[in-house]
Amino acid sequence: MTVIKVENLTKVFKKQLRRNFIKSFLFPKYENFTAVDNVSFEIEKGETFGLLGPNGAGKTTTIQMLCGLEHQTSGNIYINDLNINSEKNFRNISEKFNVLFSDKLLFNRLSAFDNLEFYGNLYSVEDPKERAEELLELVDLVSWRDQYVESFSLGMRMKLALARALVNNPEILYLDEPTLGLDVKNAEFVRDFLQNLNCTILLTTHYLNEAIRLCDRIGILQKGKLIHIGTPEYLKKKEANTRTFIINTNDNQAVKQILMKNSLIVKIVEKSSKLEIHTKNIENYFDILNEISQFKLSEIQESKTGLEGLFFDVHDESTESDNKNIDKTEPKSLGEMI
Amino acid sequence: MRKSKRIIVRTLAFAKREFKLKTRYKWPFLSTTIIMPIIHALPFIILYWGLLIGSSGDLSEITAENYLAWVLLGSIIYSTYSLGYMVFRLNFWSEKFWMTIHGTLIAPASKYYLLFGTIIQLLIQGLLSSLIFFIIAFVSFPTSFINIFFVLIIFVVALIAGAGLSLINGTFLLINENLVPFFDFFLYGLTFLSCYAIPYELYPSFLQVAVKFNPLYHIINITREVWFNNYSIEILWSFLYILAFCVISVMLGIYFFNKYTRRFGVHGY
Repeated sequence: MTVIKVENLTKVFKKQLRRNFIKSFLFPKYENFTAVDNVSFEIEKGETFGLLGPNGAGKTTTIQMLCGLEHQTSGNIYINDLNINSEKNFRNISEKFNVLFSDKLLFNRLSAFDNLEFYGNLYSVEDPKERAEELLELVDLVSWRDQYVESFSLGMRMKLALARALVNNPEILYLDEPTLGLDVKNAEFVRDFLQNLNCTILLTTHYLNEAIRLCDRIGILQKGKLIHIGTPEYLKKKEANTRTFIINTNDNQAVKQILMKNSLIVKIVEKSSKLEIHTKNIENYFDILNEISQFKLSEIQESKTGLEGLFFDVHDESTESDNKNIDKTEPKSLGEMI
Repeated sequence: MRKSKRIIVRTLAFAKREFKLKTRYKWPFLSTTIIMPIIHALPFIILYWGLLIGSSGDLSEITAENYLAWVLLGSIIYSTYSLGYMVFRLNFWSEKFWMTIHGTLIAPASKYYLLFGTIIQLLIQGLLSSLIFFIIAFVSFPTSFINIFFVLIIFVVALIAGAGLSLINGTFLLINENLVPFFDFFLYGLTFLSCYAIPYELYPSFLQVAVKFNPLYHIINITREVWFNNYSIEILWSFLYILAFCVISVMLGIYFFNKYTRRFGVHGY
């Protein structure tokens, strides 16, 4: 059963052009900035769907539109087959979802208990006081019950934010970068916690491993476009097959020219006078090194591909598919491409 | 949960939250609640005391007997109205930068709960500040308890009317701060034409016409007229006028808040 259906969602912001004070005051000029560009996806009941993308990819804007906090420029959002653009529908739906933003939605000048009790009342929870106690125990913050949130560490705030998001026992949970800025221990706590939740989850993150571990399906957002939707297994395979290495030679430009012709190389980025080479489907980089044996190599290091390399790789495939005239409006399934 | 209980619970949740947030730091709360209204009223008390005590003449409706109550009642209503008028502007300003306003916007609660919850909190705060003024006014110019009861009703109406307009002000603070100064100018205009510290007769005739359209003038005027027992048919018309103004400002406030925050989103972080 489809719980969330997003159809051709687009959000265009007006961005003021940088001009001097007088000009910007008297004759302001704007240009359009497309934060989310024709994004479509569906999420089934009980599924954890991840939106993976770098900063500025449009993840938070997408969640804000799903929550009704931003009005979309075009497209439709259906939750349980109800279009959330209607005020009446939105009021019915808003009882069923909750959200965790990276900015937490917590009142720093209230205690942990007061925060949860307030939101419990707002969502008409049967016994808000009892629910608040229950949630504090769940996130291991009982001993901090009456302390002002302003005295909390980032990890504790995130735990409390998570408890807040669960206050109405939501059917749908939107999580916007739930482990952002957390140390390893707290991030693990949050991930373990999320794995045990029993609801439909839309999660945004820019941590590849987190997405792979928590999500049933993952959509990759880049510059507002959903370039792929696929399973974590596919991304795992991609990550395993994709390598990145950094080299420094006596003539980087010439090396770049030669390597650009190699079909196994997805992208070459010049970074502080070195070349960062993103490759796909190679066992090791010796094959590539043979091609540039005439140059003097002063440095070489292999690095984990990470998200950036994976984007280059996936984006490259996406562009190739586009060139073969595959329908551009629908995101391509990564599963089909394996 | 039954619907009526749900309404009460949610409204009180907002009231409780606002009160706890306001009293997180006690001294600023006490200062704005008790000391500031006294500071506002004091110059006019001194002025009219200097003008009227020992002098044989009256200053329009102000006499040596009623000047203290006249100034204090005007100050109470003006302070209450401006407390209401500024409340969402100040609350949303804080919430915008605490990044908590989204929690209220996405919650299933109707925005009437937010408005009336905040009004309940303001009522407690306003009564705390007005209590001293009411006592001094009563001692200096005693009146009947029915009159006091009626004045308290006007006090509540003033608060609701101010808070309704404040919700429009707060909405524009969330979506476009460029428009916020215009609400300040509007309050300055209302204050200037309210007769809260200067009698109506002292205004030039062309401004007296504008004064008659000012709802704040009517709120202050009927408070004094009731306290001084000067009942007339004009009071009834004034009361109906401010009641209509109160209802319209609340409905407009909710309409703007619902429509524009969802349409334009929260901007300015």
